[in-house]
Amino acid sequence: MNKVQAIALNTFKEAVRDRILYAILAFAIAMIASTLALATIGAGMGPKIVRDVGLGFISIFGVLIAIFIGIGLVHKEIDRRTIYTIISKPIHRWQFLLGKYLGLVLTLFVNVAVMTGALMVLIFTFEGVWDGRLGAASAMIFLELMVITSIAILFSSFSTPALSAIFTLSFFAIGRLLEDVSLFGELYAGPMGRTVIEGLYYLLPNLSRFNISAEVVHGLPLGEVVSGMTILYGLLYTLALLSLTALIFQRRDFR
Amino acid sequence: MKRIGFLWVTIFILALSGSILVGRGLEARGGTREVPDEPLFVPSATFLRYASLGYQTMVADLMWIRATQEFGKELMTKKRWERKHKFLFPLLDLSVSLDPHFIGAYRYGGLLLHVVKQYENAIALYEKGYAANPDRWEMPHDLGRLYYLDLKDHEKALYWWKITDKLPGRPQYIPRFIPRLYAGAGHREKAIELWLEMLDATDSEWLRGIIHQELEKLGAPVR
Repeated sequence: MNKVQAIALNTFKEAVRDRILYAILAFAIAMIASTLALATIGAGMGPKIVRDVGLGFISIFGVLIAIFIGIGLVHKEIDRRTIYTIISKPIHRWQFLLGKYLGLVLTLFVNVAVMTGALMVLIFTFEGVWDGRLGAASAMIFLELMVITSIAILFSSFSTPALSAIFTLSFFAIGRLLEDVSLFGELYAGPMGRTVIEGLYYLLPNLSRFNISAEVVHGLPLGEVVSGMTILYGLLYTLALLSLTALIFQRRDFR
Repeated sequence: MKRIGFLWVTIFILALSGSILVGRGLEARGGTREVPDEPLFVPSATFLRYASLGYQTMVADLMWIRATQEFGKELMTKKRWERKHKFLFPLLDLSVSLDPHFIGAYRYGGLLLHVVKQYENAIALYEKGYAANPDRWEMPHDLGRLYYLDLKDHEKALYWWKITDKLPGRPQYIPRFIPRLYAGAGHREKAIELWLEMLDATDSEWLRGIIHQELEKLGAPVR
C-alpha cells in the first residue's frame, strides 16, 4: 500500500505544480464570484441564483479538471517513456494505476473543497448564513468526479489524449442524459429495443444520480437522493472501471 | 536588444492609444450599430433540458433573468401594446419547465404577467406551479388573489383560497377571507356559519371586532 501511496502523493504534487490547474481554479473562483452580478439582476431570486450557478460552476470546472488531467495521466508516462522505469521496479501495474487515480482524486478533492469554500464564504458575506447543504451537493459532485476520472483513466490507458477526451466527454454527456434515454426507450422502442436500452441503462454510468443541486437549492429533503445506496453505486462503478483499466493495462505491451 | 524592446513597447502604446481614439471617434458618430436584441424564437424546454446536460436549474435561472430583462426593456419601448411582452410568458414557462420547484418564478412571473394584463397566461403559470408543487400554498393563494382582485370571480377565488387554507404555512388572513368570499359569491348562510365558527374559536378582541363588523354587514344576529 506504501507504493500506491507514494505514487498518489507524487501524482498530487505533480498536479499542484501545474500552473494550468491554478489558472483553472482562479478562473472558477472568479466565475463563482461573478454569480453576484447575476444575483443583482435576478429580480429577487439572488440567493437561489448564487447557489444554482455557483454549484454549476463547481461541477463544470471539476469535470474539466478531471477530464483534462485524467486523460494525460497514463499517456504522459508512456510518452515520456518514464513508464519503463516504473514497470521495471518491483511494483504491480495495478498499483501504479491506483496510485495515479488516487493522486488525481486527491487533487480534485482539494479543488472542489476550495471552490465550495469560496461559494460558502460568498454566501456568508452577503446573506450572513453558512449553508451547510452546499457541502452535501459538493460531496455528490466529488463522487461524480471520481466516476468521471475513472472513465478518463480507462481511456487514457489504451488511447491517445485527444481520443480519450472525446470518449470521456461523450460518456459524461450520456451519463447525464441516461434517465432520458431510458424514458425514450420506454416510450418509443419495441420489445427488443427496450431490452437493449435497459441493458445500456445499467451498464453506462448514471451520473444524474449524483446531481442534487435542485434539492439543495430548493431546500427539499435529501434522504432519498443522498442515500448510502447512491454513494455505494458511485464507489462500485468506480471500482468496476478501475478493474477494467487494470486488466487492459496489465495486458499492454510496452515496446 | 534594448532598442528592439523599446520599439515594441512604443508600437504597443501607439497602437493602443490609436485604437482608443478611433473607438471614441466611432462613438461620436453615433456609437456602435444597434443589435436587435429581441429573440427570434424561444427554444423548447425539452431541447434545453438535453442541451444543458443536467445543469437545467442554472439554465432556468438564466431564462428567468432573460424574462425579467425582456419585461423591463419592453416597458420602455414605444411598441404597440399588443406586440409587447410576447416573449414574456414563453420565457417564464421555459424557466419553470426546466426547474419545476422554482416557486419565485411562478409567483413573481405571474405578477409580471398580471401587470401586463396577460391574465390567461398568469393563470396557466400559477396552475402549472400548483400542479408541480401541490404542497405549496403560494400558487393557489396568488390564483385566488388574481380571481378576487382583478377578474372579480368570487367563485373561483373561493375555490383556490379553500385549497390554500389547507396547506401548511399559508398566511393567517386566509381563514378570514373565505367567509367574505362566500358572501361575495352569494352564499350568505355559509358565510355567516364560517364567521360564527371563527368567533367561537378566537380570543383576540381585535379579530372579534372584525368578525362582528362582517356579521353586521351580512345582517346576521351577533352573539
